[in-house]
Amino acid sequence: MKKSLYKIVIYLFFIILSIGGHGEATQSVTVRFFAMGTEFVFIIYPPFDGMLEEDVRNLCEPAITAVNNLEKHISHYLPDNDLARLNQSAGSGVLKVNSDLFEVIRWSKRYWERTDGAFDPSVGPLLDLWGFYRKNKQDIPSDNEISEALKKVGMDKVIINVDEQSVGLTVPEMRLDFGGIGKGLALDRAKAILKEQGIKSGILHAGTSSIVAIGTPPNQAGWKIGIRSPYNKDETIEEFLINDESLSTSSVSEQFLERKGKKYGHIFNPKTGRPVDTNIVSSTVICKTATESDALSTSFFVLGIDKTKEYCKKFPDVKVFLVSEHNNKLDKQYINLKQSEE
Amino acid sequence: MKSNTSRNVSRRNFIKTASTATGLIIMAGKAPFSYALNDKVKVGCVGCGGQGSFHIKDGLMGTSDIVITAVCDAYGPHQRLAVQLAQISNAGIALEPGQGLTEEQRQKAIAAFKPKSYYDYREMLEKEELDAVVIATPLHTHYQITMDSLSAGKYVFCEKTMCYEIEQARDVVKKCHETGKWVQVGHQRRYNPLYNKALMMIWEEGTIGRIVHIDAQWHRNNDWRRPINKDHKLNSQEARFIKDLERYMNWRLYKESSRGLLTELATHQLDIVSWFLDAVPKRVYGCGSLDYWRDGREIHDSINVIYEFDITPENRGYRAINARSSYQDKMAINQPYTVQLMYSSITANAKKGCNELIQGDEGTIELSEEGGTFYPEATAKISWGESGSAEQTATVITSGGTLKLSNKALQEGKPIVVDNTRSVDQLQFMRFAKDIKEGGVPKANQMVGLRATVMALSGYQAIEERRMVEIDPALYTFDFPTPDPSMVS
Repeated sequence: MKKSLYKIVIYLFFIILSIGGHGEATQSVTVRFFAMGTEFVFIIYPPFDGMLEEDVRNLCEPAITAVNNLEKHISHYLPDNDLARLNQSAGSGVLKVNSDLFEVIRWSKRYWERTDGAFDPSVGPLLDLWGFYRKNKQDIPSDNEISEALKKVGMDKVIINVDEQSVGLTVPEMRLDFGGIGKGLALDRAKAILKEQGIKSGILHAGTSSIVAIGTPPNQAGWKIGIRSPYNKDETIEEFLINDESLSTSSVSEQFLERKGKKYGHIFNPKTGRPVDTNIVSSTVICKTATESDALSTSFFVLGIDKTKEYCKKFPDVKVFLVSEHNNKLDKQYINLKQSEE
Repeated sequence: MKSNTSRNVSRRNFIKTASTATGLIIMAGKAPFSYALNDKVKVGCVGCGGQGSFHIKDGLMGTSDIVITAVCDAYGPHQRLAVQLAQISNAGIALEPGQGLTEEQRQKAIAAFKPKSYYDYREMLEKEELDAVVIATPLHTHYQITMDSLSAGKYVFCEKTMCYEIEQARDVVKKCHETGKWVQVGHQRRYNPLYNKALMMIWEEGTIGRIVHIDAQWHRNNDWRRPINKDHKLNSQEARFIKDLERYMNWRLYKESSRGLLTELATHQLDIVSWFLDAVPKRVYGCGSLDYWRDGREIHDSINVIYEFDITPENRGYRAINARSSYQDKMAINQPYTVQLMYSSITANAKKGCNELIQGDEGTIELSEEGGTFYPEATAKISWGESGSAEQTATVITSGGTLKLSNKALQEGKPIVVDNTRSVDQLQFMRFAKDIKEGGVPKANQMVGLRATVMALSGYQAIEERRMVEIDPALYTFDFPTPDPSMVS
C-alpha cells in the first residue's frame, strides 16, 4: 500500500513537472516601443507566469536593442550613419559599410533581381521628381525629366563586394532608402532573438504593416490577422491565420498626391518612372520572413496580378492576397491561399 | 524653447529702459497732489539697488493694489532713481521694455504720489504709516530690518535668502508668531504658474512617477559684479552707512555680507526642490573653490553640493511604486527612500544655464524660468493581457498601411504650456498685496524662508568645512503653529 502511494506521489510529481516544464505563461504581455518612425509591438507569452515588468523587459531587451541598432545603421533619417555617407558618396567610389547596412543592401538586391526590378530601394529620385517630398509641385513631370531621373534609379547601379563588405552607388545623386524592407528585417531579427530567449508563442508587428508570428497562440491553430480595407480603416475585408509566418500589407491609400485632379499613389514603377497603374489597391503577402513579405507586398503592386501569379508559381511558399479596383468595385485575388470562410 | 510664463524681459534692458524713461520726470519737481490711497497697500521699499529697483519697476509697477509711499537706500543715486520709478508705479503705468513714457504718462507720473526718501530704514519705519516693507538689501542686513519691521507691525517682503544665519531665520519665525504678521520671501518660482503646473503634474497626475533624482544648476559666464561710480563722493548721510562703496555695491562677493552662490543663486532652486519633494534634506556634502575671478572677492566662484532628502509617506512628494522585478522585495519596496539633489553653480561657463531637472522613474521634467519640458522615459511600455485572453481566438492585429507614429515627444520632449502674460515678479507682488488685504498667508512664507536658509547655510558649512553636514530636523520645529511651507495655488 505504502509502495503504491509512493508511486502515485512520484506520478503526480512528474505530471506537475511536465505541466511546468512546458512552461508557457497563460497570460500574454504586450511590449511597445518606438522605432523606425512607428510603434513596434510584441505580444508574447513569456516562458512562465508571474513575471513582472522588469523581468519582461530583460527578456525582450536584446530584441529591442537589435531593432534599435538596425535602425541606427539603415535609417535614412539619420545624418551621421553609413547610409548617409554612402548616399553622399554616390558617383564617387565605394565605401566599406557596417554589416547591418551591407545585409539590407544584399537582401534588397536579391529581391530586386527576383522581382525583375519591381522592388527597388533606389526610387528616391522619382519621389523627388513627382513631388512626394515637395508638396508644392503642381505639374506632372515631363517624359524627359522622368528619363533623366530614371538614370539614377536601379539596383544594377549598386555594386557590392562581399569580401570587402563594400558598396558603391555608381551614379551621382543616387540614393537608397530601406523604408520598404527595414521593418521586416528588424522583426525577423527580433523574432530570432525572442525564440533564443525561450519564447515559443508571440506576435510582433511594426505599425501593423509588417507582422511576424512566433508559433501560434497557446492551443490555437494560428494568429488571426485581419486585413484592413484600403478605403476604410475601420473595415476588415479579410482574415488569415498565420503560424510562425510573416505577413505584410501594402495599401495604396497610405499616401498619395494629387496632380490636375488625378490621384497618384506613393508606389512607383521603377521601370516606367511613374506611379503604378495596375488597379491594385492592397497587397498582402504571407511567407517565411518579414524581410521577404515586406519586399514582395510592395513589388506585387508594381507587377500586377498576372506577373504576381507567375512569381508565386515559381515560389509556392509565397501566399498572396491582392485587392484590385475595377469600376469602383473591389476584386479579391487569392494566390497560393484559400479564401477565409465568411 | 520658451513659454509665455515670463515676459521674456531681459532685466538689464528693462532697467536701462526704465532709467531712460524716468529721466523725463527728473525736472518735474514735487507732485502737486496724491492719487487716492484708499484700499491700497502702503509699502516702503528698503534697498533700491539692482533687485530693489527691479521690484519697483516690474513687480510693484504691475500691481495696482500697492502704493509706494517711501523708499530707503543708503546710496543717494539709488534713492533718487527709486523715487522716480515709484512715481511711475504709483501712477499705475506699466512700463514696457524698450518703451519710453508718452507725454500723457509723464503727466500722470508727475501727478502721482511721490514717496518720501530715507537713508535710514528705522527713520522710515518711525515716520511713515506703512502696511508693509519690501526689503532688497544685502543678505547680512535682512535680519535686522525684517525684525524691526515686524516689531513695528509691518508685513514684510524680504528678498531671498531670508537670513545670513540659521538662528536669525528661526528668530524671524518666532517674531512673526509674536506679532501676528508674516514674511513673504522672494522665492518667486513659488508664484510662477509653470512651476505650479509642474508641481501638480508630479503630485496629482504622477506624470513622472516617483522622483528618483534631481539635478539643478546655475551656470553663468560673467564676473557677477556691479559697476561702481568711482567719482561719487559720499555725502555725510551716505557715509553713516557706507564705509566702502565697492563692498557696498558688490556685497554679494564678500563673506561679511553674503554667503556667495548658495544664498544668492542656489537658494531659489534649493527651495523648489524642497517644495516639490515636500521635504527638507537630512544631510549635505559640498565643495567649492575660488579659481577664476581672483579680483579681491572672497566667495567661491565654483561650488558643488549634494543634498540627501529622506522621503516618507508623510511627504506629499512621496510616491509608492509597484514591484517591477520579481527580485524586488515586495514588503520592503515602499519603505522610506532617499532622493539626492546634485547642485552646482559656476561662473565661467554658461552652457548649462539655469534649470532644474526633476527625474522620475516614468519621465523627466526640465524647468527654468523661461519654460518647462516633459520628457517621457524612452523604455518600452509593458502591459498584461487578461489570463487566457480573448486574443487567442480574436483578431490580434488588423494589417494595413504602416501607422506612422512620431517619437518626437521622446526625443525633444513636450513643452509644458501655461497661460500667463504677467511677469513672475508681478505675480508674487499681486499675491503679496492680496494676502495682506485679505488676511491670507503667503506661499513663500517665513517657514519657506527658514527652510531655504537652512539648506543654503548648511551647504555653505559643508563647503567651508569640507565635510558632510547633518541637518538637525529640530531646526524646523517650534512650540507654536507655523505656516505650511508646501502650499500650492
